Amino acid sequence: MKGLLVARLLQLSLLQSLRSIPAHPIEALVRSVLWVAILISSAWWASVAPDTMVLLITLAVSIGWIRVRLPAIAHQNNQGWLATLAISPVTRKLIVVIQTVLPVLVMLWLTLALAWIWGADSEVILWSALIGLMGAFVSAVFPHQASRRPYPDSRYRRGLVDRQAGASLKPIQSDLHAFVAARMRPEVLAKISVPFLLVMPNEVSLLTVLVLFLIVSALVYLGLLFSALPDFFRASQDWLASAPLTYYQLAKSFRHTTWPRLGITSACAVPFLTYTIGPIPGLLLAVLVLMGCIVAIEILIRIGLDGQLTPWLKP
Amino acid sequence: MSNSDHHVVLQTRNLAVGFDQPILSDVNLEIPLGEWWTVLGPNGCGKTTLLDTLSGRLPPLSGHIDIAGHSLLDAPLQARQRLGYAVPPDRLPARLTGRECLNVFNQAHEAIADVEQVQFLIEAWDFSSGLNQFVDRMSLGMRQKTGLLLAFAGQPELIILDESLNGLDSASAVQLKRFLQNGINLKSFSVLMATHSMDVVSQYADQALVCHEGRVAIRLTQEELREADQPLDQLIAQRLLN
Repeated sequence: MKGLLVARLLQLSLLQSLRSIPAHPIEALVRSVLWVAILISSAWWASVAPDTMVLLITLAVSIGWIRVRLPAIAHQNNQGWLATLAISPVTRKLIVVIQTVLPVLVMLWLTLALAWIWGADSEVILWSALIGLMGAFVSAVFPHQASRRPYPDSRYRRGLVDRQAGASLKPIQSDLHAFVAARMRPEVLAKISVPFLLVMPNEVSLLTVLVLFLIVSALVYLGLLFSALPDFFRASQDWLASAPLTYYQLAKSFRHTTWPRLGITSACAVPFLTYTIGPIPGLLLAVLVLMGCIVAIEILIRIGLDGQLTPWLKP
Repeated sequence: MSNSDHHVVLQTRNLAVGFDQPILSDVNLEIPLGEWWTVLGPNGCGKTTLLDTLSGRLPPLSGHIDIAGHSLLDAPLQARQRLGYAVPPDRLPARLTGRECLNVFNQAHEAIADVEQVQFLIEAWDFSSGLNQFVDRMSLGMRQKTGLLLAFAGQPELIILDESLNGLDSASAVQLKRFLQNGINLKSFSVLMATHSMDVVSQYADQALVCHEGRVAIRLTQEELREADQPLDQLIAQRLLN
Protein backbone atom coordinates (compact mmCIF):
# COMPACT_ATOMS: atom_id res chain seq x y z
CA MET A 1 0.00 0.00 0.00
CA LYS A 2 2.74 2.43 0.95
CA GLY A 3 4.72 1.36 -2.09
CA LEU A 4 1.71 2.24 -4.23
CA LEU A 5 1.46 5.60 -2.50
CA VAL A 6 5.12 6.39 -3.19
CA ALA A 7 4.64 5.39 -6.84
CA ARG A 8 1.50 7.53 -7.00
CA LEU A 9 3.30 10.55 -5.55
CA LEU A 10 6.16 10.17 -8.02
CA GLN A 11 3.70 9.83 -10.89
CA LEU A 12 1.82 12.95 -9.77
CA SER A 13 5.07 14.90 -9.45
CA LEU A 14 6.01 13.99 -13.01
CA LEU A 15 2.52 14.99 -14.14
CA GLN A 16 2.86 18.31 -12.34
CA SER A 17 6.17 18.93 -14.07
CA LEU A 18 4.84 18.17 -17.55
CA ARG A 19 1.55 20.01 -17.01
CA SER A 20 3.40 23.15 -15.99
CA ILE A 21 5.11 23.51 -19.39
CA PRO A 22 2.14 25.21 -21.14
CA ALA A 23 1.67 27.44 -18.12
CA HIS A 24 5.26 28.68 -18.28
CA PRO A 25 6.06 28.93 -22.01
CA ILE A 26 8.93 31.44 -21.75
CA GLU A 27 10.49 29.63 -18.84
CA ALA A 28 10.21 26.33 -20.71
CA LEU A 29 11.77 27.92 -23.74
CA VAL A 30 14.79 29.45 -22.00
CA ARG A 31 15.45 26.33 -19.97
CA SER A 32 15.15 24.12 -23.01
CA VAL A 33 17.49 26.42 -24.95
CA LEU A 34 20.04 26.11 -22.15
CA TRP A 35 19.92 22.34 -22.20
CA VAL A 36 19.90 22.14 -25.98
CA ALA A 37 22.91 24.45 -26.17
CA ILE A 38 24.86 22.25 -23.81
CA LEU A 39 23.92 19.09 -25.67
CA ILE A 40 24.58 20.55 -29.10
CA SER A 41 28.00 21.88 -28.07
CA SER A 42 28.89 18.49 -26.60
CA ALA A 43 27.60 16.60 -29.60
CA TRP A 44 29.30 18.98 -32.02
CA TRP A 45 32.65 18.54 -30.31
CA ALA A 46 32.11 14.82 -30.27
CA SER A 47 31.27 14.78 -34.02
CA VAL A 48 28.00 12.99 -33.41
CA ALA A 49 25.91 12.08 -36.47
CA PRO A 50 23.03 14.51 -37.25
CA ASP A 51 20.25 11.98 -36.60
CA THR A 52 21.74 11.09 -33.22
CA MET A 53 22.03 14.78 -32.42
CA VAL A 54 18.32 15.31 -33.18
CA LEU A 55 17.47 12.45 -30.85
CA LEU A 56 19.67 13.92 -28.13
CA ILE A 57 18.14 17.38 -28.54
CA THR A 58 14.62 15.96 -28.30
CA LEU A 59 15.54 14.07 -25.17
CA ALA A 60 17.32 17.08 -23.73
CA VAL A 61 14.30 19.37 -24.10
CA SER A 62 11.95 17.04 -22.25
CA ILE A 63 14.40 15.71 -19.69
CA GLY A 64 15.88 19.17 -19.12
CA TRP A 65 12.47 20.52 -18.18
CA ILE A 66 11.67 17.65 -15.86
CA ARG A 67 15.16 17.86 -14.45
CA VAL A 68 14.69 21.49 -13.49
CA ARG A 69 11.07 21.30 -12.37
CA LEU A 70 10.86 17.99 -10.58
CA PRO A 71 13.10 18.73 -7.57
CA ALA A 72 11.39 22.10 -7.17
CA ILE A 73 7.99 20.40 -7.26
CA ALA A 74 9.21 17.78 -4.79
CA HIS A 75 10.30 20.59 -2.50
CA GLN A 76 7.01 22.48 -2.83
CA ASN A 77 4.98 19.33 -2.30
CA ASN A 78 6.78 18.28 0.82
CA GLN A 79 6.85 21.76 2.33
CA GLY A 80 3.28 22.43 1.34
CA TRP A 81 0.25 20.26 0.92
CA LEU A 82 1.98 16.93 1.70
CA ALA A 83 3.62 18.23 4.88
CA THR A 84 0.95 16.77 7.13
CA LEU A 85 0.45 13.57 5.15
CA ALA A 86 0.53 10.41 7.24
CA ILE A 87 3.65 8.90 5.72
CA SER A 88 6.77 8.03 7.65
CA PRO A 89 9.72 10.44 7.61
CA VAL A 90 11.78 7.77 5.85
CA THR A 91 9.19 7.43 3.07
CA ARG A 92 8.96 11.20 2.76
CA LYS A 93 12.73 11.54 2.44
CA LEU A 94 12.81 8.65 -0.02
CA ILE A 95 10.29 10.42 -2.25
CA VAL A 96 12.29 13.64 -2.19
CA VAL A 97 15.54 11.83 -2.94
CA ILE A 98 14.02 9.87 -5.84
CA GLN A 99 12.38 12.96 -7.28
CA THR A 100 15.65 14.83 -7.10
CA VAL A 101 18.09 12.12 -8.12
CA LEU A 102 16.06 10.38 -10.81
CA PRO A 103 16.16 13.17 -13.41
CA VAL A 104 19.86 13.74 -12.75
CA LEU A 105 20.54 10.06 -13.32
CA VAL A 106 18.60 10.16 -16.59
CA MET A 107 20.58 13.20 -17.68
CA LEU A 108 23.75 11.41 -16.69
CA TRP A 109 22.70 8.38 -18.67
CA LEU A 110 22.18 10.62 -21.67
CA THR A 111 25.64 12.06 -21.28
CA LEU A 112 27.26 8.69 -20.89
CA ALA A 113 25.42 7.50 -23.99
CA LEU A 114 27.00 10.42 -25.76
CA ALA A 115 30.40 9.39 -24.43
CA TRP A 116 29.83 5.83 -25.59
CA ILE A 117 28.88 7.03 -29.07
CA TRP A 118 32.02 9.14 -29.12
CA GLY A 119 34.06 6.21 -27.90
CA ALA A 120 35.40 7.94 -24.81
CA ASP A 121 37.95 6.40 -22.49
CA SER A 122 36.26 4.17 -19.89
CA GLU A 123 38.15 5.90 -17.07
CA VAL A 124 36.76 9.27 -18.17
CA ILE A 125 33.24 7.82 -18.27
CA LEU A 126 33.68 6.43 -14.77
CA TRP A 127 34.91 9.74 -13.38
CA SER A 128 32.12 11.62 -15.10
CA ALA A 129 29.54 9.23 -13.70
CA LEU A 130 30.94 9.71 -10.21
CA ILE A 131 30.89 13.50 -10.52
CA GLY A 132 27.30 13.41 -11.73
CA LEU A 133 26.22 11.02 -8.97
CA MET A 134 27.93 13.12 -6.33
CA GLY A 135 26.16 16.19 -7.64
CA ALA A 136 22.84 14.39 -7.67
CA PHE A 137 23.14 13.30 -4.07
CA VAL A 138 24.40 16.68 -2.91
CA SER A 139 21.33 18.16 -4.54
CA ALA A 140 19.03 15.64 -2.84
CA VAL A 141 20.54 16.07 0.60
CA PHE A 142 20.70 19.88 0.51
CA PRO A 143 17.36 21.05 -0.88
CA HIS A 144 16.52 24.57 -1.97
CA GLN A 145 17.68 27.34 0.27
CA ALA A 146 14.21 28.86 0.04
CA SER A 147 12.98 26.19 2.45
CA ARG A 148 13.58 28.19 5.60
CA ARG A 149 10.07 29.59 5.66
CA PRO A 150 6.84 27.90 4.65
CA TYR A 151 6.10 30.85 2.36
CA PRO A 152 8.97 30.98 -0.14
CA ASP A 153 7.60 34.18 -1.61
CA SER A 154 7.47 36.02 1.70
CA ARG A 155 10.56 37.99 0.74
CA TYR A 156 8.58 39.71 -2.00
CA ARG A 157 5.92 40.78 0.42
CA ARG A 158 8.61 41.94 2.80
CA GLY A 159 10.19 43.85 -0.07
CA LEU A 160 6.89 45.56 -0.78
CA VAL A 161 6.54 46.62 2.83
CA ASP A 162 10.09 48.02 2.80
CA ARG A 163 9.37 49.90 -0.38
CA GLN A 164 6.13 51.34 0.90
CA ALA A 165 7.99 52.52 3.96
CA GLY A 166 10.10 54.67 1.70
CA ALA A 167 13.08 52.37 1.31
CA SER A 168 14.92 52.02 -1.99
CA LEU A 169 14.37 49.33 -4.59
CA LYS A 170 17.18 47.27 -3.05
CA PRO A 171 14.87 44.41 -2.02
CA ILE A 172 13.92 43.87 -5.66
CA GLN A 173 17.55 43.58 -6.66
CA SER A 174 18.44 41.21 -3.85
CA ASP A 175 15.44 39.09 -4.83
CA LEU A 176 16.97 38.48 -8.23
CA HIS A 177 20.20 37.49 -6.47
CA ALA A 178 18.17 35.04 -4.39
CA PHE A 179 16.47 33.63 -7.46
CA VAL A 180 19.76 32.91 -9.19
CA ALA A 181 21.46 31.70 -6.02
CA ALA A 182 18.63 29.23 -5.42
CA ARG A 183 19.38 27.70 -8.82
CA MET A 184 23.17 27.79 -8.56
CA ARG A 185 23.32 24.48 -6.75
CA PRO A 186 26.50 22.39 -6.70
CA GLU A 187 25.02 19.58 -8.72
CA VAL A 188 24.24 21.92 -11.60
CA LEU A 189 27.89 22.75 -12.15
CA ALA A 190 29.01 19.19 -11.55
CA LYS A 191 26.50 17.76 -13.98
CA ILE A 192 26.99 20.31 -16.70
CA SER A 193 30.74 19.94 -16.55
CA VAL A 194 30.40 16.25 -17.38
CA PRO A 195 29.81 16.62 -21.15
CA PHE A 196 32.79 18.94 -21.41
CA LEU A 197 35.03 16.55 -19.52
CA LEU A 198 33.88 13.76 -21.79
CA VAL A 199 34.60 15.49 -25.06
CA MET A 200 37.93 16.91 -24.00
CA PRO A 201 40.71 15.70 -26.31
CA ASN A 202 43.36 13.74 -24.43
CA GLU A 203 46.24 16.10 -25.29
CA VAL A 204 44.58 19.24 -23.85
CA SER A 205 46.47 20.82 -20.94
CA LEU A 206 45.13 21.10 -17.42
CA LEU A 207 45.05 24.90 -17.73
CA THR A 208 42.79 24.66 -20.77
CA VAL A 209 40.50 22.30 -18.88
CA LEU A 210 40.36 24.76 -15.98
CA VAL A 211 39.66 27.72 -18.25
CA LEU A 212 36.96 25.80 -20.07
CA PHE A 213 35.40 24.77 -16.77
CA LEU A 214 35.28 28.42 -15.69
CA ILE A 215 33.78 29.42 -19.03
CA VAL A 216 31.18 26.70 -18.74
CA SER A 217 30.37 27.93 -15.24
CA ALA A 218 29.92 31.46 -16.58
CA LEU A 219 27.67 30.19 -19.36
CA VAL A 220 25.66 28.18 -16.89
CA TYR A 221 25.31 31.28 -14.77
CA LEU A 222 24.03 33.17 -17.79
CA GLY A 223 21.55 30.40 -18.50
CA LEU A 224 20.43 30.39 -14.90
CA LEU A 225 20.04 34.14 -14.92
CA PHE A 226 17.81 33.91 -17.97
CA SER A 227 15.86 31.02 -16.56
CA ALA A 228 15.33 33.02 -13.35
CA LEU A 229 13.99 36.11 -15.07
CA PRO A 230 10.53 34.81 -16.06
CA ASP A 231 10.00 33.47 -12.54
CA PHE A 232 11.08 36.78 -11.17
CA PHE A 233 8.76 38.78 -13.39
CA ARG A 234 5.82 36.59 -12.43
CA ALA A 235 6.52 36.96 -8.74
CA SER A 236 7.05 40.68 -9.11
CA GLN A 237 3.77 41.01 -10.92
CA ASP A 238 1.97 39.11 -8.21
CA TRP A 239 2.78 41.57 -5.49
CA LEU A 240 3.86 44.65 -7.36
CA ALA A 241 0.92 44.73 -9.75
CA SER A 242 -1.01 47.20 -7.63
CA ALA A 243 1.97 49.10 -6.23
CA PRO A 244 2.33 52.75 -7.27
CA LEU A 245 5.57 52.17 -9.16
CA THR A 246 6.37 53.56 -12.57
CA TYR A 247 7.60 51.33 -15.35
CA TYR A 248 10.89 53.20 -15.25
CA GLN A 249 11.43 52.54 -11.53
CA LEU A 250 10.91 48.82 -12.00
CA ALA A 251 12.86 48.44 -15.20
CA LYS A 252 15.79 50.40 -13.77
CA SER A 253 16.15 47.97 -10.92
CA PHE A 254 16.20 45.02 -13.32
CA ARG A 255 18.80 46.65 -15.54
CA HIS A 256 21.11 47.62 -12.73
CA THR A 257 21.18 44.05 -11.55
CA THR A 258 21.33 42.30 -14.87
CA TRP A 259 23.55 44.26 -17.21
CA PRO A 260 26.82 44.06 -15.20
CA ARG A 261 26.37 40.31 -14.93
CA LEU A 262 25.88 40.04 -18.65
CA GLY A 263 29.04 42.07 -19.22
CA ILE A 264 31.06 39.75 -17.01
CA THR A 265 29.54 36.68 -18.61
CA SER A 266 30.28 37.93 -22.11
CA ALA A 267 33.85 38.71 -21.11
CA CYS A 268 34.19 35.15 -19.81
CA ALA A 269 32.84 33.86 -23.10
CA VAL A 270 35.50 35.66 -25.16
CA PRO A 271 38.32 33.11 -24.60
CA PHE A 272 35.88 30.28 -25.21
CA LEU A 273 34.72 31.77 -28.50
CA THR A 274 38.21 32.77 -29.67
CA TYR A 275 39.42 29.25 -28.81
CA THR A 276 36.67 27.64 -30.89
CA ILE A 277 36.09 30.01 -33.83
CA GLY A 278 39.11 32.31 -33.88
CA PRO A 279 40.00 35.67 -32.30
CA ILE A 280 38.14 38.22 -34.46
CA PRO A 281 34.94 36.20 -35.04
CA GLY A 282 35.03 35.19 -31.37
CA LEU A 283 35.26 38.78 -30.17
CA LEU A 284 32.54 39.88 -32.56
CA LEU A 285 30.30 37.03 -31.48
CA ALA A 286 30.85 37.88 -27.80
CA VAL A 287 29.77 41.48 -28.46
CA LEU A 288 26.78 40.23 -30.44
CA VAL A 289 25.84 37.86 -27.63
CA LEU A 290 26.07 40.72 -25.14
CA MET A 291 23.93 43.00 -27.30
CA GLY A 292 21.48 40.20 -27.91
CA CYS A 293 21.20 39.56 -24.18
CA ILE A 294 20.53 43.23 -23.44
CA VAL A 295 17.88 43.41 -26.15
CA ALA A 296 16.34 40.17 -24.88
CA ILE A 297 16.20 41.52 -21.34
CA GLU A 298 14.61 44.74 -22.54
CA ILE A 299 12.01 42.71 -24.41
CA LEU A 300 11.40 40.52 -21.39
CA ILE A 301 11.04 43.57 -19.15
CA ARG A 302 8.55 45.15 -21.52
CA ILE A 303 6.59 41.93 -21.95
CA GLY A 304 6.69 41.32 -18.22
CA LEU A 305 5.47 44.77 -17.30
CA ASP A 306 3.09 45.46 -20.11
CA GLY A 307 -0.37 44.96 -18.73
CA GLN A 308 -1.74 43.70 -22.04
CA LEU A 309 0.62 40.77 -22.20
CA THR A 310 0.74 39.82 -18.54
CA PRO A 311 -1.59 36.78 -18.84
CA TRP A 312 0.99 35.23 -21.13
CA LEU A 313 3.52 35.21 -18.31
CA LYS A 314 1.19 34.32 -15.51
CA PRO A 315 0.89 30.70 -14.38
CA MET B 1 -10.43 5.21 18.32
CA SER B 2 -11.59 5.36 21.88
CA ASN B 3 -14.93 6.97 22.52
CA SER B 4 -14.25 7.63 26.15
CA ASP B 5 -15.27 11.10 27.33
CA HIS B 6 -11.78 11.57 28.71
CA HIS B 7 -9.97 10.59 25.56
CA VAL B 8 -7.54 13.44 24.88
CA VAL B 9 -6.87 14.15 21.21
CA LEU B 10 -4.34 16.93 21.68
CA GLN B 11 -2.01 17.56 24.56
CA THR B 12 0.84 20.06 24.60
CA ARG B 13 3.27 20.64 27.42
CA ASN B 14 5.45 23.75 27.73
CA LEU B 15 5.28 24.22 24.00
CA ALA B 16 7.19 27.07 22.37
CA VAL B 17 6.58 27.81 18.71
CA GLY B 18 8.26 30.16 16.27
CA PHE B 19 11.03 30.27 13.70
CA ASP B 20 14.29 31.46 15.22
CA GLN B 21 12.74 33.20 18.21
CA PRO B 22 9.60 32.04 20.05
CA ILE B 23 6.38 33.65 18.87
CA LEU B 24 4.24 31.83 21.45
CA SER B 25 5.66 30.22 24.58
CA ASP B 26 4.46 28.05 27.42
CA VAL B 27 1.45 26.70 25.52
CA ASN B 28 -0.28 23.99 27.55
CA LEU B 29 -3.40 22.54 25.96
CA GLU B 30 -5.51 19.47 26.59
CA ILE B 31 -8.36 19.01 24.12
CA PRO B 32 -10.74 16.11 24.82
CA LEU B 33 -12.51 14.21 22.06
CA GLY B 34 -15.73 15.88 20.97
CA GLU B 35 -14.87 19.52 21.69
CA TRP B 36 -14.55 22.56 19.47
CA TRP B 37 -11.74 24.91 20.46
CA THR B 38 -10.96 28.20 18.80
CA VAL B 39 -7.79 30.29 18.72
CA LEU B 40 -8.19 34.05 18.58
CA GLY B 41 -5.82 36.96 18.42
CA PRO B 42 -4.64 39.83 16.27
CA ASN B 43 -2.77 39.27 12.99
CA GLY B 44 0.78 38.12 13.61
CA CYS B 45 0.15 36.94 17.17
CA GLY B 46 1.21 33.38 16.28
CA LYS B 47 -2.06 31.56 15.54
CA THR B 48 -0.89 30.10 12.25
CA THR B 49 2.56 29.29 13.62
CA LEU B 50 0.92 27.43 16.50
CA LEU B 51 -1.34 25.44 14.16
CA ASP B 52 1.54 24.74 11.76
CA THR B 53 3.53 23.36 14.67
CA LEU B 54 0.65 21.27 16.00
CA SER B 55 0.12 19.79 12.54
CA GLY B 56 3.78 18.85 12.18
CA ARG B 57 4.60 21.39 9.49
CA LEU B 58 7.01 23.30 11.73
CA PRO B 59 9.22 21.79 14.42
CA PRO B 60 8.52 23.13 17.91
CA LEU B 61 11.26 25.20 19.51
CA SER B 62 10.69 23.27 22.74
CA GLY B 63 8.04 21.24 24.53
CA HIS B 64 5.93 18.21 23.69
CA ILE B 65 2.96 17.57 21.42
CA ASP B 66 0.84 14.42 21.70
CA ILE B 67 -1.95 13.69 19.22
CA ALA B 68 -4.38 11.04 20.46
CA GLY B 69 -1.67 9.70 22.74
CA HIS B 70 1.09 9.64 20.11
CA SER B 71 4.03 12.01 20.26
CA LEU B 72 4.24 14.11 17.10
CA LEU B 73 8.03 14.14 17.42
CA ASP B 74 8.69 10.52 18.44
CA ALA B 75 5.89 8.76 16.54
CA PRO B 76 4.99 11.19 13.74
CA LEU B 77 3.37 8.57 11.51
CA GLN B 78 0.90 7.40 14.17
CA ALA B 79 0.24 10.98 15.24
CA ARG B 80 -0.44 12.20 11.70
CA GLN B 81 -2.76 9.31 10.98
CA ARG B 82 -5.04 10.78 13.64
CA LEU B 83 -4.70 14.33 12.42
CA GLY B 84 -6.68 16.19 9.79
CA TYR B 85 -5.25 19.51 8.64
CA ALA B 86 -7.04 21.76 6.18
CA VAL B 87 -4.30 22.65 3.71
CA PRO B 88 -4.38 26.42 3.09
CA PRO B 89 -5.39 27.39 -0.46
CA ASP B 90 -1.99 28.84 -1.34
CA ARG B 91 -0.18 25.61 -0.44
CA LEU B 92 -2.12 23.27 -2.70
CA PRO B 93 -0.25 21.96 -5.78
CA ALA B 94 -1.18 24.18 -8.71
CA ARG B 95 -1.00 21.57 -11.47
CA LEU B 96 -3.00 18.76 -9.88
CA THR B 97 -6.78 18.42 -9.79
CA GLY B 98 -8.63 18.52 -6.50
CA ARG B 99 -9.57 14.87 -6.95
CA GLU B 100 -5.94 13.84 -7.44
CA CYS B 101 -5.05 15.61 -4.18
CA LEU B 102 -7.90 13.86 -2.40
CA ASN B 103 -6.90 10.45 -3.75
CA VAL B 104 -3.39 10.86 -2.39
CA PHE B 105 -4.66 11.76 1.07
CA ASN B 106 -7.15 8.90 1.09
CA GLN B 107 -4.43 6.51 0.01
CA ALA B 108 -2.06 7.80 2.70
CA HIS B 109 -4.73 7.20 5.31
CA GLU B 110 -5.56 3.87 3.68
CA ALA B 111 -9.12 5.13 3.55
CA ILE B 112 -10.18 4.25 0.02
CA ALA B 113 -13.39 2.60 1.24
CA ASP B 114 -13.97 5.04 4.04
CA VAL B 115 -14.83 8.29 2.36
CA GLU B 116 -18.40 8.81 3.56
CA GLN B 117 -17.55 11.98 5.46
CA VAL B 118 -15.75 13.48 2.50
CA GLN B 119 -18.45 12.34 0.10
CA PHE B 120 -21.11 13.96 2.30
CA LEU B 121 -19.37 17.33 2.09
CA ILE B 122 -18.75 17.03 -1.66
CA GLU B 123 -22.45 16.47 -2.23
CA ALA B 124 -23.52 19.15 0.26
CA TRP B 125 -21.29 21.65 -1.54
CA ASP B 126 -22.22 20.31 -5.01
CA PHE B 127 -18.47 20.18 -5.57
CA SER B 128 -18.09 16.95 -7.52
CA SER B 129 -17.32 18.57 -10.88
CA GLY B 130 -15.27 21.34 -9.25
CA LEU B 131 -12.91 18.72 -7.86
CA ASN B 132 -11.91 17.76 -11.40
CA GLN B 133 -10.40 21.18 -12.08
CA PHE B 134 -6.73 22.02 -11.70
CA VAL B 135 -6.08 23.78 -8.43
CA ASP B 136 -4.72 26.91 -10.12
CA ARG B 137 -7.96 27.26 -12.08
CA MET B 138 -10.06 27.16 -8.92
CA SER B 139 -11.42 30.20 -7.12
CA LEU B 140 -10.33 30.90 -3.55
CA GLY B 141 -13.49 29.30 -2.19
CA MET B 142 -13.02 26.15 -4.29
CA ARG B 143 -9.41 25.81 -3.16
CA GLN B 144 -10.54 26.32 0.41
CA LYS B 145 -13.06 23.51 -0.01
CA THR B 146 -10.41 21.23 -1.51
CA GLY B 147 -8.11 21.90 1.45
CA LEU B 148 -10.97 21.20 3.87
CA LEU B 149 -11.80 17.90 2.18
CA LEU B 150 -8.18 16.81 2.65
CA ALA B 151 -8.59 17.41 6.38
CA PHE B 152 -11.35 14.79 6.56
CA ALA B 153 -9.52 12.04 4.65
CA GLY B 154 -9.37 8.94 6.83
CA GLN B 155 -10.92 9.19 10.25
CA PRO B 156 -8.94 11.93 11.99
CA GLU B 157 -9.59 12.50 15.66
CA LEU B 158 -8.29 16.05 15.57
CA ILE B 159 -9.22 18.52 12.83
CA ILE B 160 -7.02 21.62 12.59
CA LEU B 161 -8.48 24.53 10.65
CA ASP B 162 -6.69 27.81 10.04
CA GLU B 163 -9.24 30.48 9.13
CA SER B 164 -10.81 27.91 6.85
CA LEU B 165 -14.12 29.75 6.54
CA ASN B 166 -12.42 32.53 4.55
CA GLY B 167 -13.56 32.53 0.97
CA LEU B 168 -16.47 30.15 1.48
CA ASP B 169 -19.89 31.37 0.42
CA SER B 170 -22.35 31.66 3.28
CA ALA B 171 -24.32 28.50 2.40
CA SER B 172 -21.12 26.40 2.22
CA ALA B 173 -19.88 27.90 5.48
CA VAL B 174 -23.15 27.01 7.23
CA GLN B 175 -22.97 23.44 5.87
CA LEU B 176 -19.40 23.10 7.07
CA LYS B 177 -20.23 24.39 10.57
CA ARG B 178 -23.18 22.00 10.82
CA PHE B 179 -21.00 19.15 9.63
CA LEU B 180 -18.35 19.95 12.22
CA GLN B 181 -20.93 20.34 14.97
CA ASN B 182 -22.46 17.00 14.06
CA GLY B 183 -19.04 15.30 14.25
CA ILE B 184 -18.42 16.99 17.61
CA ASN B 185 -21.79 15.81 18.94
CA LEU B 186 -21.08 12.24 17.81
CA LYS B 187 -17.60 12.49 19.35
CA SER B 188 -16.10 11.53 16.01
CA PHE B 189 -13.42 14.20 16.30
CA SER B 190 -12.39 17.45 17.94
CA VAL B 191 -11.79 20.74 16.18
CA LEU B 192 -9.07 23.32 16.77
CA MET B 193 -9.77 26.36 14.65
CA ALA B 194 -8.04 29.71 14.29
CA THR B 195 -10.61 32.31 13.35
CA HIS B 196 -11.56 35.95 13.47
CA SER B 197 -15.25 35.10 13.23
CA MET B 198 -16.79 35.96 16.59
CA ASP B 199 -20.11 34.33 15.73
CA VAL B 200 -18.37 30.95 15.30
CA VAL B 201 -16.67 31.42 18.66
CA SER B 202 -19.79 32.46 20.51
CA GLN B 203 -22.10 29.86 18.91
CA TYR B 204 -19.95 26.79 18.53
CA ALA B 205 -16.78 26.94 20.63
CA ASP B 206 -16.36 24.94 23.81
CA GLN B 207 -13.27 26.92 24.65
CA ALA B 208 -11.60 30.00 23.17
CA LEU B 209 -7.91 30.73 23.50
CA VAL B 210 -6.72 34.29 23.02
CA CYS B 211 -3.09 34.75 22.00
CA HIS B 212 -1.53 38.00 23.10
CA GLU B 213 2.04 39.18 23.64
CA GLY B 214 3.68 35.81 23.06
CA ARG B 215 1.44 33.60 25.16
CA VAL B 216 -2.07 32.23 25.48
CA ALA B 217 -3.29 35.12 27.57
CA ILE B 218 -6.95 34.23 28.08
CA ARG B 219 -9.03 31.06 28.08
CA LEU B 220 -12.76 31.49 27.81
CA THR B 221 -15.02 28.56 28.65
CA GLN B 222 -18.25 27.66 26.91
CA GLU B 223 -20.27 29.17 29.74
CA GLU B 224 -18.36 32.43 29.57
CA LEU B 225 -18.79 32.55 25.82
CA ARG B 226 -22.51 31.82 25.83
CA GLU B 227 -23.47 33.87 28.86
CA ALA B 228 -21.42 36.96 28.14
CA ASP B 229 -23.54 40.07 28.61
CA GLN B 230 -21.45 42.09 26.18
CA PRO B 231 -20.02 41.52 22.69
CA LEU B 232 -17.22 38.99 22.69
CA ASP B 233 -14.54 41.32 21.37
CA GLN B 234 -15.34 43.77 24.17
CA LEU B 235 -15.18 40.98 26.73
CA ILE B 236 -11.74 39.94 25.46
CA ALA B 237 -10.46 43.52 25.41
CA GLN B 238 -11.68 43.98 28.98
CA ARG B 239 -9.98 40.78 30.14
CA LEU B 240 -6.72 41.80 28.46
CA LEU B 241 -6.80 45.17 30.21
CA ASN B 242 -7.38 43.48 33.54
